[in-house]
Amino acid sequence: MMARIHVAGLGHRGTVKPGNDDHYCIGQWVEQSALVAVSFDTGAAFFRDYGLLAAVADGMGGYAGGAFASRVALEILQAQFYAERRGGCNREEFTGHIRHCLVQTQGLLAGALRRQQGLEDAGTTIAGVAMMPPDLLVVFHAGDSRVLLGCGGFVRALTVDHTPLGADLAAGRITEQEAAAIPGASRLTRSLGATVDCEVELGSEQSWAAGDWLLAGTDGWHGPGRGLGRASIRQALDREPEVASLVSRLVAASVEADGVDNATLVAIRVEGGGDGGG
Amino acid sequence: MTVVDDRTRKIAPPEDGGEEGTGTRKLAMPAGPVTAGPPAMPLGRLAPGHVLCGDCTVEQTIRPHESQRPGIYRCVAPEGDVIVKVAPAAHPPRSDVWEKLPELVHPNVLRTYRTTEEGGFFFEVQEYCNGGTLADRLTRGDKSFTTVTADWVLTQFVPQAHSGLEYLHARDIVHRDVKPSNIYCQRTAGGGEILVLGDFDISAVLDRTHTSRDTQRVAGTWYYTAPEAFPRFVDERGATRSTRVTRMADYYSLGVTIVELLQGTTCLHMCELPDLFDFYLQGSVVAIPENIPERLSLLLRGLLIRDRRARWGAEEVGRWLRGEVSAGDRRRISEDAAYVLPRVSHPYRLKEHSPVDLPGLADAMYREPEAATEDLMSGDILLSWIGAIDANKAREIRSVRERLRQKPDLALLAAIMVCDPFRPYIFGDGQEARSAGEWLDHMGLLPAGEAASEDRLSRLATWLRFKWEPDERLAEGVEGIIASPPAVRLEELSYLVDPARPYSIAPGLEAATPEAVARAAYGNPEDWSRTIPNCYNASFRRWQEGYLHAWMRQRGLGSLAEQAAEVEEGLSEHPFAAFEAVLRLLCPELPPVQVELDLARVRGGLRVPYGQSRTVTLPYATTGCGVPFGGLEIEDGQPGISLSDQLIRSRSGAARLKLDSRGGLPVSRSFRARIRLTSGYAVLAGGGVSITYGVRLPAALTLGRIGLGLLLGGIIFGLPRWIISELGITVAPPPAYDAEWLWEAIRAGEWPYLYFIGSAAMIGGACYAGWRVWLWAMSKSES
Repeated sequence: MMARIHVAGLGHRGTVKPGNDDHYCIGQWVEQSALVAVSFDTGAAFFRDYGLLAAVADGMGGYAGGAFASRVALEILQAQFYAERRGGCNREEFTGHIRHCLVQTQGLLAGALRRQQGLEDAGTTIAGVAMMPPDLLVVFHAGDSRVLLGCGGFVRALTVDHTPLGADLAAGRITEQEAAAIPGASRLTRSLGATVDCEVELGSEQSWAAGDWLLAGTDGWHGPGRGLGRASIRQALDREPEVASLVSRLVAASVEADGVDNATLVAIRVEGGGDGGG
Repeated sequence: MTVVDDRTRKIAPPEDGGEEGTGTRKLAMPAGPVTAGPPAMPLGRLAPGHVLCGDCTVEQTIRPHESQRPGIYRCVAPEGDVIVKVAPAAHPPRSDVWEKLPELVHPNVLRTYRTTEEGGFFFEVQEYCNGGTLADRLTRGDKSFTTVTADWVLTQFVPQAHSGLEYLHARDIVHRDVKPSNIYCQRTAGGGEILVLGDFDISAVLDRTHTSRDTQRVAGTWYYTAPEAFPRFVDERGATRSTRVTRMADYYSLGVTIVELLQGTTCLHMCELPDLFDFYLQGSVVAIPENIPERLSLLLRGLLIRDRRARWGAEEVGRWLRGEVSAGDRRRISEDAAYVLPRVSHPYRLKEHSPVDLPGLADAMYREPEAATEDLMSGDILLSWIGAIDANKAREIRSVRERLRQKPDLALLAAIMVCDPFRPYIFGDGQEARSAGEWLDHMGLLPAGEAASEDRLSRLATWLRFKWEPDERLAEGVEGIIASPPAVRLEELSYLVDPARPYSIAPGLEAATPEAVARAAYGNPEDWSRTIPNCYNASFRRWQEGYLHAWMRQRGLGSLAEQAAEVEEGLSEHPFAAFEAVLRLLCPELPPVQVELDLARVRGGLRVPYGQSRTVTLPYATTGCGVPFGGLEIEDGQPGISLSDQLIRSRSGAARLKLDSRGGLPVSRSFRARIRLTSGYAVLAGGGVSITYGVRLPAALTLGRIGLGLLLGGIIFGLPRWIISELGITVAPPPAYDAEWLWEAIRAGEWPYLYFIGSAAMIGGACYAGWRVWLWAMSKSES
């Protein structure tokens, strides 16, 4: 039985910052504040041949530099991802493709930043997913933007923040509130652009299946002591089946709850099917 | 989540710590005293001649009755020499055990003749054993112990103790205090001795409505106590929790007793209570004496297995006694020896529980399913903790979580089982099942649809998949059953668990092979003389409900079941026909269903006047077994005759035969039509029937036709002569129209010859034209 995938993304500058240095991409769209919502069957030709890329990027290095870095990073990544057909590839090949795309993105972004006056220190986090039939899912991230998986009424993180306390947070040795109170705890140990040899972390053990929610968000939307808590996200997933409404609600709620940082979210819902794949 | 409903009672820590060391433990009173009322004063020491229980005369006070200790008196009673035991005033006996005592009659179980209550005292009149207890034989000297021989243990002690325990356990009584001082010797007249299990002060009844966890151990001699009675984890208040005490606890105690009998003491006898806790929490094993026969050593290693779920019990000891120890029995011993209790430095916090090892975590997750599911599904903290103990198990749980992420309750059950594969399946009412068979036994008490809900079957499949010695085949089978109708699932599961189980055709009627099922559904041919017999109807109903398919699937007749499903789909509107076809798939040799046509109404032929139609009813009936299905048809498409209502789908009925002469049915001819039955399994008696039929022309019309033809012919016949005469053609008039003249005229080639030929042709043509006109007129009048 054919599954249907619904994707939506939205960004918000928050209530404090003068601008938005986040971007997100859905497929070949790279957007910042506009709402993009797409739905397609898993049997759709473009999904079968190319798969789906969805990611968020949180720029840093001042507003101009941050926004530039996040936008360029996603533009390069999507261009690399959709450069050639990959239909029918296996998990290993697909993961290798994503790794190659991210390495290329890292190199090209670093070059682009070097060429821009005053943007040498700019960089960006990145977090997202790449999906391919029948059920291949690769999760990638660098920095403190996160990918969450919602299923069966629960939400859990598929990524571990690249911060000094990220592993401690994931292992439960420290709470998000405690981490937020520690000076320097939010420093990034990995990011794109800032260093050429940064490695984006890939997770390829996952599969996507009907009923799954995949959420990629920046730390302004959900982070240590910032944005929305996991419980609020879980409640929203339970109550809002429509992906565009969910994204709007979650971003608005995070801005209302915190609003200090830019908040950007991409949500993917896999509906029906039962066997996951298309 | 409701993986396993938790009605386990929280067990309070033993308050009466002072009982340790008193030799005989007092009773816990979870259910309150047997009777209400103020406690009576202790009886104390009684003088000889004092009468107890109305007819027991005291001869000796063995132990005076006190408020905290039972009184024991040797008396003379109508039963002979007896011991009268009076429960301590502060601890009246448990009603459940006390009431059962007089029912226990076994040579290796101390006989209690009667139990009575008088004046607030609870008396037990017991058999008097003249040989003392086994403890009397273990005298401890300054430097050595007096012990028994290994041979005596092998030949005398183990068989008798096992027999006694088996008897008690069969009656759901756990002794809980097996030790040398509670095993009595009864000398027989022939010089032999019988070992008798006695002293049921702290025994517990494992009734069917309460789990063994209700039988918390707050008393008893701790040296002989099984490891599971020592708390495995401690909650935040520091209160201990007792784990389950089952029949297996008695066998562990038996093992310790044997060790003590063989060497006079055990490593446990040197421990204080806290040391005993440490001993077991560290996973230590009771040392088995050296220089004993290998057979006895094997028994001890089996009895002293630390995990009660792997420990040897009645079955294993029975096999050992028969010399039939299985490879599985030995494997349990080796696995227990290889097991090292894994521990982490810090406990896992799950609400009020703080487990320190994986079995403890499993127990905590079972008790707090919601919190555990949250921890399991929402993060990796739990998995990190598990990974610190056993990385492989953490990896397995992570994989299971991924696979079952849409079913968190099953994921939790799987995680619990991975942490503690020895856990039984625990029902909502606290009962346990250790196999699919036991699960079925319990579920059999519930309505079929409710018992075998998708949720329950999924849990069972998960449990089977992750339990110790997983059964993937059975688990897959259980998952397959979920697709069956709810009412059928439980029975299908019983066929899955026991593929040799015969199919239940109808109440009280079973068959083990497909052929037997088909034949049994038909029953006796005599039963079909009046109506469809009950066995057939019941079998038909069960087939309709899906039971037969369930049996076929689990009996290894999958292809047959698929064929049957195809047949049923094709005959969905004719259930009896489908059923008959399925029966013949099961037993191709089943005789065909015989249908007989009643031809009384067409005997001698069927005639219909020309231009009319007629319908005749042809009744049919079935002879013998079965319900026929098929279509009656006329072979070779004979003209003018047809059948309606020709579909036969019940044991009796009628078809309609129609003879229609309209539309050119040749007249004055007799036709023969053969009726046959087209069916997959039914036949017409005799293979088919033949009937004759034809059209009968009306006499007046026929005569009229002839007359008309003659008239026309006459007219036409005279016409040439008139023409000739009018044209003035002269012909020699024939002298006479006789044959001789005609012959001569033909030979001579004279005109009369041509004249005759022409006349005849004209007459024929006139007749034919007249006939056609008449037919045309007839058809017009009919329409």
